Amino acid sequence: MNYLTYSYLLTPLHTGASSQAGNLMGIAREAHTELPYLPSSSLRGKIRSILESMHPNEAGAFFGERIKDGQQPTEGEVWFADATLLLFPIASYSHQFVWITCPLWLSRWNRWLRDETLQTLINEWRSLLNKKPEEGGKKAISSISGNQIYLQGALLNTTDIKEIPANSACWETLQKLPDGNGILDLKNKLVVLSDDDCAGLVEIGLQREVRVALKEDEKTVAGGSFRSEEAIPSETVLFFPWGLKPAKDEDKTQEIRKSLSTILNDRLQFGGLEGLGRGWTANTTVALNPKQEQEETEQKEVGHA
Amino acid sequence: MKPKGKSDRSSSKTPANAWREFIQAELKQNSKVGRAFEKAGFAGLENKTLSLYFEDDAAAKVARGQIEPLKQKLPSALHPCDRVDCKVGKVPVVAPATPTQPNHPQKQGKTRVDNPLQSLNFAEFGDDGKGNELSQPVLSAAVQAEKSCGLVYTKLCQRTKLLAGGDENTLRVDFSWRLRVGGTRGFRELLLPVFHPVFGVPYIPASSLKGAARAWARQNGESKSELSKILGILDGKVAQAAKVEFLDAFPTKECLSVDVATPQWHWQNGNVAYKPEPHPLLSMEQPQFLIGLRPTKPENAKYIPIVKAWLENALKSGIGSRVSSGYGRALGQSPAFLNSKNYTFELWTQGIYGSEPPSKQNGRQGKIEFRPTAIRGILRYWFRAFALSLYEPSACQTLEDTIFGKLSQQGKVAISVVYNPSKQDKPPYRYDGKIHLEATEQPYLDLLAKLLVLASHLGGVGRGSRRPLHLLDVDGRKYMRGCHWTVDTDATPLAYDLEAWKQLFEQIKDAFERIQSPITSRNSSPGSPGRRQQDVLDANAQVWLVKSPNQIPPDKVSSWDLEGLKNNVRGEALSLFYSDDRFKGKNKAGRGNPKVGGALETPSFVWIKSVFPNSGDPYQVVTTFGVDQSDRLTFAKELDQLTKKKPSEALLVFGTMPTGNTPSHPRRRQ
Repeated sequence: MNYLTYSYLLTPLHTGASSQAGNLMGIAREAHTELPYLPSSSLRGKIRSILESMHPNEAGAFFGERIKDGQQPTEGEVWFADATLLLFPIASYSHQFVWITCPLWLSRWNRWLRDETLQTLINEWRSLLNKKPEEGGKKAISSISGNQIYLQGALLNTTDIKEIPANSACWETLQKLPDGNGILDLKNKLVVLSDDDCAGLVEIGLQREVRVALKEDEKTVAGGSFRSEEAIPSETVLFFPWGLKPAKDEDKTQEIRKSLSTILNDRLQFGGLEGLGRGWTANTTVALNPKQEQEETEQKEVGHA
Repeated sequence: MKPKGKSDRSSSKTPANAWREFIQAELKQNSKVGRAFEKAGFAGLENKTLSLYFEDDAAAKVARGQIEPLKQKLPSALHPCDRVDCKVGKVPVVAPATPTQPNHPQKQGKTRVDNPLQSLNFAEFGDDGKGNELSQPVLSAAVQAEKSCGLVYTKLCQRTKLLAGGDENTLRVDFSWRLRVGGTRGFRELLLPVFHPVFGVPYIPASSLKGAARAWARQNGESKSELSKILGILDGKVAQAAKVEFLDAFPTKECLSVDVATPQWHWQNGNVAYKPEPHPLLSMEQPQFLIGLRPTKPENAKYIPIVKAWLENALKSGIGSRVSSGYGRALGQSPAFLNSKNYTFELWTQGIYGSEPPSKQNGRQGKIEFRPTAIRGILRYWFRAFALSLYEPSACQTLEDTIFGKLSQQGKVAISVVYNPSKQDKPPYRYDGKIHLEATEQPYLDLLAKLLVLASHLGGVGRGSRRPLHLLDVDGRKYMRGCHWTVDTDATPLAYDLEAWKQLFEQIKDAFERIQSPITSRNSSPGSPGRRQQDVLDANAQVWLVKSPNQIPPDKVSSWDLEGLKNNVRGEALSLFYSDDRFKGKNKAGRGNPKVGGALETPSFVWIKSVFPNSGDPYQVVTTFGVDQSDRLTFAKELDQLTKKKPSEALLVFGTMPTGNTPSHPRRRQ
């Protein structure tokens, strides 16, 4: 059984200093896209530590036993994939801020949802964004219509934008996202951009907080203690797929399975700089189309046979 | 689409800026076009016509010869341009441009929410008509944008409550005056507070709160190990997780405000010159914050009250920048330094203003604001007035930096004020409250305390500090002028008594000597109207007490309109001062004497202050600087005459009357 969890960042997320260039404390990035993400190991570690404290007797079997006392590690009953970007907030002169996304992010998302109507829509959008303006191409597809849209320093004119109609196939699925205690407002703030534009804006939109430590009695910075810390800003929405494998002994992990589903529909803290309140997320989890999966599995089995 | 960083403002460049940059680039290449248009005043680009103004015909003629080459070279920001109009004369003053607002979705029932940070990036700079950029319109645009963020604040504060997980983990903090957190110097040298990267609203980052709490705890005897245990530590291989986490804190309501820092006196080659320079900036005005804390594990909840107490104290002793001038202090303040003293004060004033003083543009309707910085400023002024008579200028400057601090160097004192806003919305405005003086060591506090007594006896604070509160009639229009303040100290108000006054001056001298000895005796010039310099209480200064038995204090004036011009409100000394054009400052009609009284941009050489002692008659204190100048000596002689006529009516408590017609102290011109 597979699931998809949406994580809405209530506070900025600092995902471990994987890179350190000069005094910039970087964040984890995907090797192939360079987009910031939350690695599954980090995700899994946090979830395991919470569940271990709740169900010390079940965690071993569920997550897999660790190497100890010369014993081999065992296979667990749960898997997690990386959490990647679905919606990213960009400050806007005209709209205070908007959420951007792109065909790449949406396709990765729908890879798990397997919603055909949504896929058709994403394909349409991709082709529209890839076309040149003289061929009828657009720079953005947005729920904001008839107005200029400022995105940080960039400007989209009315003619650059195609409107997402109110009855578009995307809305039903997007409704399942956590709403960031009433802040998420996609019907008035969603902008779909080309993959490249989106990646460029994410680079600008990452939060970079300069941190200094002052000397004890002077107003000057203590020796070299001047650094800039990157973070994924609050209001970003990430998603991660995860799944359960059939239990070897269902009784052994029954409680922990229930708790997992509970905590993945609640607030969780991920990543580093916990002391500064980083990484608080609101989560909702949806079950992935079980029927379809079942059919596919059967087909595969038939194929193998 | 090409996303642009903040540094690239070409898309929002004003034509005036584009012109300036273009000419500078041309001058660098030493081109003919550059030279011909170097002195041109840019008046705008409208209807494809570029309007330029030149000083004289000759310059305009040279320029006209270069119109065609100019048109070829004009940058894209100055297109389209078909005509170049070269006129002779001054550039007409253009009102600051209002930022062009993009079109917005004005859906019914939905109000627009703006992004203050982005407004800063896109708003247009103004022009003062002399080719200087005005940043005020940009800052105002951000303030305007922030006014639409109420709902965002509400939601963010709800989120804080949610994450903190209970009221016992939150802290609601009101600041007594202004607050600026985030030492970044934004583009164009503007001092900006830190803004949220998504919402663009000001906030206090968790790291600032945590740093402040840690510093306060450390300074108040908490051990390093305890601090590391509770707040965590990461230092090389030593790592310990925090027991309590801090959340970013947001204001509960709109609070962004244009602020200004206007240093009036500047050290210049050993002199202190009068040169008020306004530096506009943004800060939060009397903000309220909701701060959230959270135990990192349920069992750490016991540490919350400890950290909360540290944080509360830290905020009360000040957070952010300019704490020593009264910024960033939470209400119910606790001392920033070990030694402190509080004084009750009352201030009546013609009006103290911040970023919006009365001007032609606002129809003489400024926005009044009581500014604690004014009290620090006046103490600093009297500090120099005394110190320059005791020390060499360089020693005086060093001492001033030591005591009051300078960039990257914390001073020894902090001055802050908790006050009640004026109940009246027209002059005179009345404020009252408490002045807090704080110092690292007792001698500094003693000096500051004495200077406060001096400042409240020789003059006022803020606008009109050199005059008692009265009404002024200018061509039939009446203006409130001057100020009156009282500060309750142990010995005050001083009585009309030579000994008491002499003692005050001696005590101040002693206070200085205890901080830095030896002291000497020096004279310096208060400068001339065009080049005004710091007033110094040296041998050329005189302080007179003039009895004013019939004078009534401001709170006894029932109608300023009817009584404000009368002698019993103005007082004896001011009436005398106003009685003769030789003493008054030069007015619009050209009458008066700039060498004695003040004028626009030249502070008067004479200070007059009303004192209403607890016992005995009211009197006025007249302080005249540089009486070695003959015009000012004339006024001093007038007072001297008074003592001869009525010996009990006036008293010279500081300085001496020069004997004969030549000044007794040859003045040292610098």
